[in-house]
Amino acid sequence: MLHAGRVSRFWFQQAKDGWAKVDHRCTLLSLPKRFISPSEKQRGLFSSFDFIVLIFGVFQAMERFLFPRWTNKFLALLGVLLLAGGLYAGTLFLGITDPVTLNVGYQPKQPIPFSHVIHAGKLKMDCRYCHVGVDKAAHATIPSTQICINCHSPQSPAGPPVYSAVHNENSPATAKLKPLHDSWRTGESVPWVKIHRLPDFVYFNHSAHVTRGVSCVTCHDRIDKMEQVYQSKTLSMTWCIDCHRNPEPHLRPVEFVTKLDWKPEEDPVALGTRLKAEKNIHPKANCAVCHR
Amino acid sequence: MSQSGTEHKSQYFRSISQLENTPEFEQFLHREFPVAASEFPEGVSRRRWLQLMGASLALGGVTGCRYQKEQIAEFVVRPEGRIAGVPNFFATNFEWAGRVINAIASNMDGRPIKLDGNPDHPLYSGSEQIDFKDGKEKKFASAGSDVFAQAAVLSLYDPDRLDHISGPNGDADWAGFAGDVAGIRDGLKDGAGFAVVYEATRSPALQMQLQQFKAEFPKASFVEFTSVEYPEQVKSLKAVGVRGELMYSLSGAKVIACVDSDLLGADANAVFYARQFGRGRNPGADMNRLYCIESQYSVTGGVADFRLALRSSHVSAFMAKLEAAVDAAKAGSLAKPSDAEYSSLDVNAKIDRVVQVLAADLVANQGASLVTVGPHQPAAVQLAAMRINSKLGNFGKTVMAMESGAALTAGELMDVASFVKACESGAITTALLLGGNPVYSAPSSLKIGDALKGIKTVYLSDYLDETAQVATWVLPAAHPLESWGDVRSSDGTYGVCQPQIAPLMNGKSALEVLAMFATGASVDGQTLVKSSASKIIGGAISERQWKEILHSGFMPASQFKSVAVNLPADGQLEQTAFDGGELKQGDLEIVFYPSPSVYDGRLANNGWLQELPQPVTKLTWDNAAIVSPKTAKAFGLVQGEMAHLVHNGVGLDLPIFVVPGQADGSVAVHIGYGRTAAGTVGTGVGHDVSALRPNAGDWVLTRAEIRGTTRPYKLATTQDHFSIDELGIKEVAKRAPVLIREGTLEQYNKDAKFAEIELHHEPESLWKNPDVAQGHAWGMTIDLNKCIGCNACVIACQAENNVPIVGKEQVSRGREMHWLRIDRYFHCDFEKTAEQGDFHNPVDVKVVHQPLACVHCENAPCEQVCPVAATVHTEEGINAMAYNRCVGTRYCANNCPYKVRRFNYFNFNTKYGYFYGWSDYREEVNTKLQSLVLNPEVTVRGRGVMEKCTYCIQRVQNGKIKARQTGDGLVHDGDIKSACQEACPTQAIVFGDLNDKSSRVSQLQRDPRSYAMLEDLNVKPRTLYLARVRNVPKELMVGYQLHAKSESHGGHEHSDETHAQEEHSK
Repeated sequence: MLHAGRVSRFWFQQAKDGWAKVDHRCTLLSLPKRFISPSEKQRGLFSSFDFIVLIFGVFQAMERFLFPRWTNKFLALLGVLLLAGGLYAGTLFLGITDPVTLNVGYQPKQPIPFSHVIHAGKLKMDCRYCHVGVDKAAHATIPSTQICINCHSPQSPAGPPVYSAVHNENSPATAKLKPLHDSWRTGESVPWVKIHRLPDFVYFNHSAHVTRGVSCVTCHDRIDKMEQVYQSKTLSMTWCIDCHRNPEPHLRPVEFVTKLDWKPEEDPVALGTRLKAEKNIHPKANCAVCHR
Repeated sequence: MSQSGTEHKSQYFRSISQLENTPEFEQFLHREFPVAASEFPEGVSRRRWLQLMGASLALGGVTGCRYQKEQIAEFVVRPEGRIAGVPNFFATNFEWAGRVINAIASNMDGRPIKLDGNPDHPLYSGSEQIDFKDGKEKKFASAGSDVFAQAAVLSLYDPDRLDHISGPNGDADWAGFAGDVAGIRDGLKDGAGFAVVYEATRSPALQMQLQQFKAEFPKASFVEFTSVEYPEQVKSLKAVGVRGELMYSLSGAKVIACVDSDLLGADANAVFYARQFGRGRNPGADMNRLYCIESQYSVTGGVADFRLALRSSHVSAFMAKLEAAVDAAKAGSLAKPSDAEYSSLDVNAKIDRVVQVLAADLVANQGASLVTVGPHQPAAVQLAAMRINSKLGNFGKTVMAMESGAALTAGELMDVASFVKACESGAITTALLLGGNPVYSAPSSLKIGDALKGIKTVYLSDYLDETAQVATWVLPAAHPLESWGDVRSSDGTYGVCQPQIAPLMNGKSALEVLAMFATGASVDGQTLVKSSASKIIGGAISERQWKEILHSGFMPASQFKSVAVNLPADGQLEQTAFDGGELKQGDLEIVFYPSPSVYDGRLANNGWLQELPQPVTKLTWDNAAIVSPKTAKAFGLVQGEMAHLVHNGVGLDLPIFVVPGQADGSVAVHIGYGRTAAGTVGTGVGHDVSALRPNAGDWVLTRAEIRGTTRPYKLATTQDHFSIDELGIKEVAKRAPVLIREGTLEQYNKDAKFAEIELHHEPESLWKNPDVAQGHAWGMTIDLNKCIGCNACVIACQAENNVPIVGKEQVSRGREMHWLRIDRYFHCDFEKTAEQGDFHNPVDVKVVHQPLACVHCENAPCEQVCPVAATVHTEEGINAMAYNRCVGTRYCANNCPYKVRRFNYFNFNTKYGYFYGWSDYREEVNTKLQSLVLNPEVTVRGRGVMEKCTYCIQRVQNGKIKARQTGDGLVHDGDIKSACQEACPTQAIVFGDLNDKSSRVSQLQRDPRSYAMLEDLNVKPRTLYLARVRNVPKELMVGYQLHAKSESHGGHEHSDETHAQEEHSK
């Protein structure tokens, strides 16, 4: 503290004497002699003061090198650059951490190139055939291997099963299904990668939404058009709250929640308002709705 | 003591420390979080500290901009009825800590995480209270449970559990052991030289196996072993010809006299009794009356309407007097008590008065009364109680003798002492020990450890405990939640124990191991239990019957028959005089009790139980010599110092703990501590007292000595933590009668609103009062008249809400994390105490328990000071915590008048395992094992975050979602239960919707006894209390009870903000 006091006293002295007195050749970097040798008392201690002395000593050794006067006009430029840099870094940081950047478009490679376009789109399978928990529990659940095997049973020595969707052992389609058939044989799970991920402290419940008329499409978009599923919405807290505060445009009759291409025949807001009253829907936006 | 009497205006006080104003208490008063609360713990090395810090920095740093890649491991074949994240509920029954637990296990994704009572079980459904109907028959609460049942899940996931078989040649597997079993069986021939040592059991399947074993090897010896053994009780039952036990029915009893008997706390049927007791606690004509005469302050004593502190060794003389008085009362010759006030009598006259009043009361309620005596009392005293019950015509009505009948008769059994002798003489060469840890828990005089070293032993154990260290083969035992079994409850109802999870540690149950020896082959537990069930049902059990038993958790109509008792004519107790109460060295008694938290020591490695503040002492992580203030003063004993106890030439050092209300000259000591090989948590906690009690029946020792030493010893108690106010004792004194409100039944009958305190002026708020009329409005009532302070709610909350434990050192710093605490207030006859001028020795001490968690104020002071809006209100009135917003300023805790907020000083719960500070638990695998106990519905909080009771918000939210998925979309009363409510055996805690005017909670909130704690602060708490009503007979009332005027609203002085109005505004 003592040393720091001395240094600041020096600067104070300088300020009092006026910078004008000091030679314009950036004397800022040189130190008066009295400062290089501290009192006897302070010797033998390596302190922050000694460090400062060391730095200034180095500059003093370089006394020959001085910034020329004309560089002074760049000082303003330097300030502007610093400011702009800060802004740039800040914007970059905010941009990077924005849910739009972070979450939207996340499309990990899955062990099996499962196509929702074929299953949900062309074959028009109901979402709930595979995602069995969606109207019963918090988790929608990924289908168990058995559900896939219902259609895609592996070929046995007796030949292809009668109801098998993929017949030819050597067809490329069967090769793609290898992880599934491996899972069926070994009893190990298919290592599906989770796409729509909320933080652990968020307690989202699928059934609470699906059974009240919020469609899959509201959060997951047109899965039936995605060859490989990706995250389409931000799933950020603001995004959740927007809907909780204004649910009307997102409500539809419960029987159509899994019909992804459904369009209301009337004004969606009018329909939503009616459904909201009918089903006594009052979404809350307090913390405890999702955080416990 | 330096303070003058005027400073002690209160009749309520928290502890002797408060009366004495010790520096520790001062510290707790001045700072909610005591000095140096932000320093790192002493128990942690510097190195570990740096590791901790380094790790937390790593956690805080950005580990990547996107979430880590996460895989979903779905089932290959989904089990029927299983949906990820939705708990399944299974009924199960098992023996645990000397009790039978009839439970419903909630099984989350295949792991049991919570146990609660089975409300359909005949024992409990019979005492179900079906009132407050909303048009249809509905069961409201669960059956309730106890601390042991609640903590059983933590023991299941204990990383210290034995996970391998160790044999004479190192580690082995079950196949290797089976080879050895075959060898033993070949050498057995007729079984001579072989002993089966097993814990006394209520399992018919195990008894069947024992019989089968006996049939196979007729000369084998059978040693039944009980760690908490009451030979005198066995003797008394034998004398009346009952092969079973006595069971009481408290629902029919108007007058209950517990003489040195902790019916509601330590009894094996405590939950069931508490449930029946609670039913009779609604003030009015039907209210029961509980007398308690005891030495230690027990749970029953705390809830008693009248309690007399009497040495356990004087109980015999008391019972002799009582019996004579009952005879006299029946003959109509009992003298009427004098007109003198009870409090003006001397010690002996007080006892006489109690005997007179009690006898008259019992005789007035013949057939509806009950006298019980503690199992540790001499057989003659137990017989006296039976005689009194018989004279009162209580047998068959409130007292039932149940003929349970063990498989092996006493004649076929060998006692432990003969077993030890046989081992020493070489008569027994091989022993199969089925659990029980006899080396620690058998009587110390037997030196069973040395005897076992000399023979070949096969020991089935949960842990690598004291006995395992001398055994030849050590086998891992399966937890009851991992194995098949069965059990008959005290009333005989047969229930099956079904596994909730496959054995985590590759263990086997005692049943399976015994069957292995009996049959020579590995038999599946389910097969054994099925055959046992068939035997009970009388014929082969059908698959349908079996499924029904598993589903409902019991076999219908399988109760025992109650039998008549044949009371012997002789054995009358001698009437002896009580001595004058002079305390003399060498004339003291030491009374031992099983610990209310770790039982006989078998639960020592259970952190939840170790850290549980014990019912009256609020002591954690320790046992102590509990003495009364007078005893302490007489022998120079100081709390926080060690004392030297001597009995029969054996000395032992124990820390002193002073509890008002303990009988003078009586020292209470809990067994079950001082384990040398319990595991990481339990080893070395407390003091082993087995040296003092060399024999199994040594529960009450007389002619003991006690001397103080000056050696300090730190006891971690929670009694003085979270002191109400910085203004100190004065403010506590002023407020205590406002916090706790109680009166007598007489007072209640005169004025049901006696507990009401009219506010001086209508409080005005600076804040906008929230609109609460819409939707749900969650609220709670806690009936102080029903709360027995048993702690079941505390552990239930801990299990439900992932509340961590913090260790002894942190508890003594006031950092315990329990969301729900039970405040214990002492209460004394203040005038007499002042008259006597010795505030060290309060007169006629009483206890009131007050469970306190967040009361969810409508004008919550915590919310007003949170700088980041981390604690906010929901529309339904729940004061919610958003942990991720919390920055840990602790302003909220400082501004909370109830002191119910808890701060995470460390990552108690995450990353480093469930127990902070136990460095052995840092291995990844163990952390993972421990984290299986966590409730996935509740966030696990990290360091620097504030937390508190949320009214079980997860249950509220899931209840609402469930209501909308199914049915009419409406939440009905009783659909949503908080964890504490579900665990409460007396149904003292009721939770529900206040906007539903027919709901049970809103009816109770309109009860005249209901009051808000600190209502003058205008915080509008959602939790209301119902004032305690003591049904104390007039002749036994002390001054303040006699002179309490109903108009003065409790007769207490009030704080400046409140005053009594002469008339009610309503």
